[in-house]
Amino acid sequence: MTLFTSGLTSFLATLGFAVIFNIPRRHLITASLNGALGWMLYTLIMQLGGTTIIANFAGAVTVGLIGELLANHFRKPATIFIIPGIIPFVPGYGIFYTMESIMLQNFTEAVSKGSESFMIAVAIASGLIVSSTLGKYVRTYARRRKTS
Amino acid sequence: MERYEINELLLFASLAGRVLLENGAETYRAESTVEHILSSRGVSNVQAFVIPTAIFLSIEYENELYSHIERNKRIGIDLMRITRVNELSREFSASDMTVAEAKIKLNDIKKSSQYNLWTRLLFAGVGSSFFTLMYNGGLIEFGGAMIASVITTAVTEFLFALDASLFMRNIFGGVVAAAASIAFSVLCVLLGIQVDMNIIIIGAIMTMVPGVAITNAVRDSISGDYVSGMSRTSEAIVISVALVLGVAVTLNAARLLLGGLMP
Repeated sequence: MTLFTSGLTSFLATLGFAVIFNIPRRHLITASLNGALGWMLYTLIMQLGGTTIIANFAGAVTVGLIGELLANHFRKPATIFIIPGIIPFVPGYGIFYTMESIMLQNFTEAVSKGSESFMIAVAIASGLIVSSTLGKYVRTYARRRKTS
Repeated sequence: MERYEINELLLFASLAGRVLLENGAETYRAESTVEHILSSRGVSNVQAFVIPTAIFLSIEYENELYSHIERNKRIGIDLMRITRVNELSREFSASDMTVAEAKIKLNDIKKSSQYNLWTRLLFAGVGSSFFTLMYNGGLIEFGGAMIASVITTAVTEFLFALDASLFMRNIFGGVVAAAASIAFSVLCVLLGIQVDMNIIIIGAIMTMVPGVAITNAVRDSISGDYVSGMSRTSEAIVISVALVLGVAVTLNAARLLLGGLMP
């Protein structure tokens, strides 16, 4: 898949979920663009031969940082840009597939898919924590400069 | 403040926290919002312990301790309500709004919704069908996933309105998703069109799979909220077990009944 089509499909996929998650109407497009940008970076890293974990981590950091910036700009909680943004990454189907493998007594598959899904979740979560911590530091720094 | 005023404040703060939890806010956000609301009214020693299924609060005022426990059973995701509770808590702390006024606003938020059912169903279809493209599906799978997902979301929304439990919602969601995908695929086979049923099923269940739940679980654990992390992990496991049960049972039944017609 080319970078452009992956951006477009993830944009529309994110947009669908943004409506289900009830994002305020005026932020629908920005939140979906956030998801698309993150997913394009993911696709790029995968095409350059990176591993899934690195690609997910980098994607999540991007989504998180853009989310923090948007949150600061619009004075809204960052969650409304981040939750839809990570939708293309989250290992929802991976967890489902793991359970399905356990049920079909395909235990090797379950362990491999299960650990992969868990590590993806860890990568995304740490990416988000890194970006929110960075965002917090930048905000306090900016505030301190303004007051002094 | 009188004793009853303290109680009102405590009830309001825990209700605000509960609205946040019900709509899928992170644990730290619920905790900090509740603490923020309470601290702004001059009570001391504010302690808030939040897990996805309950809120435990305790405050001190004029050498007396007050506490309250609020249970929470419903969990969905509604980011509009989270935003509005966030704004309300900021407004409440910055002004001298009375607790009664704030409570009226909070009850408004609790009932608010922004998009009507048809819009939500349509966009559930859009979200799921574009996911099939990300999983390398073709146009046939795209259309099938859109139809299946709209039907599935209609059923799960109906069950959510009926206050059905998480497990029941996802079992029925899985059954309906699989049944709709099978019906579509069998129709395609009868018309002589090549179709990949598995990708359609993936699309149809995409709105239910616990991707955000598992990510939030890890996020809570990394931030040190271990109980919340475990609680959300269990939620993710329950959701996926229910979904798999629903899908697998339906697939098996269809194989027995339809046999050769299945793609």
